[in-house]
Amino acid sequence: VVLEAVRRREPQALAAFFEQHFDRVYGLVYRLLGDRHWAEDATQEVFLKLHRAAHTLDPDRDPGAWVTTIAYNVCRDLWRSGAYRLSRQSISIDDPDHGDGAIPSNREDPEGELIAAEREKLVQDAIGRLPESLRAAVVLREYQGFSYEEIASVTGTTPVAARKRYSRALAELGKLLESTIK
Amino acid sequence: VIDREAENSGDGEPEVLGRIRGLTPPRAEPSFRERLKRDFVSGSVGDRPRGVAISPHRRRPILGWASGLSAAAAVAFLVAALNQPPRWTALPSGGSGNVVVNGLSIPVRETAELTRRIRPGSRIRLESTKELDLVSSGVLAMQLSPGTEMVLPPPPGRWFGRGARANVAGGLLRVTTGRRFHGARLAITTPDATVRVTSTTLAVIAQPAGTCVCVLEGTAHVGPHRGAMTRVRPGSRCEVAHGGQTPKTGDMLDAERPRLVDLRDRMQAVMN
Repeated sequence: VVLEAVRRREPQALAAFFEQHFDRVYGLVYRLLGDRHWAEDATQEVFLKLHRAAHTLDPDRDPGAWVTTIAYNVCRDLWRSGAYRLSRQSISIDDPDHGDGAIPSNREDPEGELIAAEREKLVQDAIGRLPESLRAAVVLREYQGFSYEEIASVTGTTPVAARKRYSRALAELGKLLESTIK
Repeated sequence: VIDREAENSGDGEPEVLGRIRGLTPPRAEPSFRERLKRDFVSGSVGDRPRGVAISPHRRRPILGWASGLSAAAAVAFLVAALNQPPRWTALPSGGSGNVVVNGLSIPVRETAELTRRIRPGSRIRLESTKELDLVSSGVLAMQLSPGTEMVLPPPPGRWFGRGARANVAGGLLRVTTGRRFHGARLAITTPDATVRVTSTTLAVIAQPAGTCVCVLEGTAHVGPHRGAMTRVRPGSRCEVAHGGQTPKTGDMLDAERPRLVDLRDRMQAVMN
């Protein structure tokens, strides 16, 4: 019933749809793009596309895969854009916005909070240094909970290739994080 | 829900997985979230206050392709324009009479009009009392004797399109090549023979009895249309008789030597 209302772009249904999918979309594009500002722009683009394509939504199917595919395609377009490439080249390692965007949770232990934030930043940076196809595989699997079949469907490849990419991504991350793990 | 542990068995990266899965979920700025929700619900999400640089070439693929094609066409046009050799120019002639260009009779003294009319592929017949010189600066110069009828070749391009073909229906044509002709090829056909020119100064005499080619310098290859080509060395001549198959060679005609030397010296001064 809600999805039918989303198709008709009824405000209450759109609000519920937004609440249901926002965190998932933002989390995905943030992990794929590695930057808060780009993540906000991409999230906005995703919801623009969702709004425009709402009438094509299939009410009999879970819209999660549809939403994820749109979000992934927006990120893929960004990867190909000159503006994004340029910005990635000019990101400073000391850029305070280049953290993971998480709200610190442990206010009573600022030192531990700092160490945890630094560790998270290292991991996010390592994910950001992966080739895009490997990054997509590991992010979709680890943060979206996708099966290889679903990853293949979103990224336009085969399940076998998706599994290989995921394995390669883990191996690459292992190398990139080697010093911090030890 | 997938059974990650089962599917990941054998990956052998437990530490890495631990680090990846231990990341705190990213949270958007509450103000951004609220604004986007408001815009999404109201339908004004497209009215972005921020300059989003999301892949304009993807959002407007037609414009992207069009601009790409335009750029490619502009480059191709520029290259083609730069490849163009200097056009044919008629030099002043001391004779009187006309030049018939594609059936249009033009006084031989009106060199500007002649230059405007002659094009590669033009059929020219010289009805004048003296020779007419045509020059493509730096590339090629030709001298038509009175009574000569020919089809004008395109001068070879600078980088590509370096082969050219001329046809002499009858009469006497003298040719000398310039510095920028180097590496190009010119084929001159007569009713009885084909002459292949690389860099040289030569005369092609097409008469009803046959064709005679006199080479002052450089080398030319001469032969009947369907026969073997004969290499003609400097100071030599080659004759292909009408209907004959075997070219005959000998010393170049005495009368042609000073004419070809004169043409070469004058045209080299003009062209190079």
